[in-house]
Amino acid sequence: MPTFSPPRRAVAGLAAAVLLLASCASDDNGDDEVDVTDGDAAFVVDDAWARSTPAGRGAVYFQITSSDDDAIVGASVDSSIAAVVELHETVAADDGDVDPSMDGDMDGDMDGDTNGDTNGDMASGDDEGHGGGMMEMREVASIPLPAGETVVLEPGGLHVMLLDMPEMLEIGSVFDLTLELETAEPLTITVSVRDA
Amino acid sequence: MGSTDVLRSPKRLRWWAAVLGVALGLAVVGCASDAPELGGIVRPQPLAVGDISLPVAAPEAADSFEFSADEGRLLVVYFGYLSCPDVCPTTMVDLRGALAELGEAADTVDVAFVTVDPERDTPEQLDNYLDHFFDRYVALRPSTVDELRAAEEAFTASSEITVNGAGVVEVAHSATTYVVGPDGTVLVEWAFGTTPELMADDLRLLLGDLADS
Ligand SMILES: [Cu+2]
Repeated sequence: MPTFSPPRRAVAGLAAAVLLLASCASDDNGDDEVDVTDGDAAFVVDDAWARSTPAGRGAVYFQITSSDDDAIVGASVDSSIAAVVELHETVAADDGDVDPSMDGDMDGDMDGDTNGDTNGDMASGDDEGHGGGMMEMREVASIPLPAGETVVLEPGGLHVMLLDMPEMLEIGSVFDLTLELETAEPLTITVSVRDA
Repeated sequence: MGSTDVLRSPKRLRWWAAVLGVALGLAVVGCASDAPELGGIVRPQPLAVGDISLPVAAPEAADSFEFSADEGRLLVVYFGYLSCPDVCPTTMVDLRGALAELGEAADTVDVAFVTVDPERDTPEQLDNYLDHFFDRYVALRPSTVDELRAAEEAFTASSEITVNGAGVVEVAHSATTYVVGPDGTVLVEWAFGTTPELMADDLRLLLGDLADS
């Protein structure tokens, strides 16, 4: 019998297919993963990016995994970037406690999903229609980081909100964002500014 | 060792082949979307918005803009506000991506942005904002609350501006994007988070329909 091993190929093929899936999932995720050891706790921060609007506001997004249970309780940037920094969450305005970014679906909803209906809170399908659902931003006191769990800050969900920005962020530039944590020492991450 | 044998048994082979087949199928479905039907939301009874009009704030002020596309064209409509740093720019970027993907066909698609916060969003700011995303656009700025509400109602959009205890203005708004045809009806709606690819596919399909008719 030859040593040819089809199962292995099948596994490789499967892996390739999965990779293919993953590769069409997202447009511009940088692979700027950063591992930080902070005292006893270790953090992995991935894909930290921001955009700003001409109206002097901006939002920062990233993915963060903490080795220990912790929580983000505040954030700050240099005042040349923004005078006020808050932790925010975009939620369905008519549906109080919905937390779109924390309910599983860690790979986000920007993937190759061809069904628009699954893309958010608007598509409830009641007779009011999807247009009836409103989204609004709320300040949150903290963003819990359960041990080992990747928490995703992404458009339409959790974000670090930049307010009173003296000027628009320059696309391609970077700035430091310091996260205040409940337990670990403050964690400074580098945020890159993307076109928006 | 025993497990290796099991793994290599013909039965196992068929199983792996099936897994591989399904995975590849999923991968293809996930990336392409050659389905001939619209990916966004289509109502059985299309919304009629052609009778509604709003004042134009930018790029050049005008008395009124009607919500219907010119012949052979499509009009994409979004209700938002400028100090919205999360939801609105995300949709604008997605829409820009969709238009980029359309290539030349994007020349037959117009974009209208309705501010739901006309008090704070000045014509200059609107112009500056939209210019950031699009080559061609119209910024619509309702001059009264009634005017805004009438437009929202036609689209089943909604918005609410409140001032919280700290004096901070908070805006809640529906974040759906609408595609209006030359007949003044909404042909398809995209919920927040709809991908540029899906938008582009829908626009292509609708432009094809217009060309056929
Ligand atoms: Cu916010």
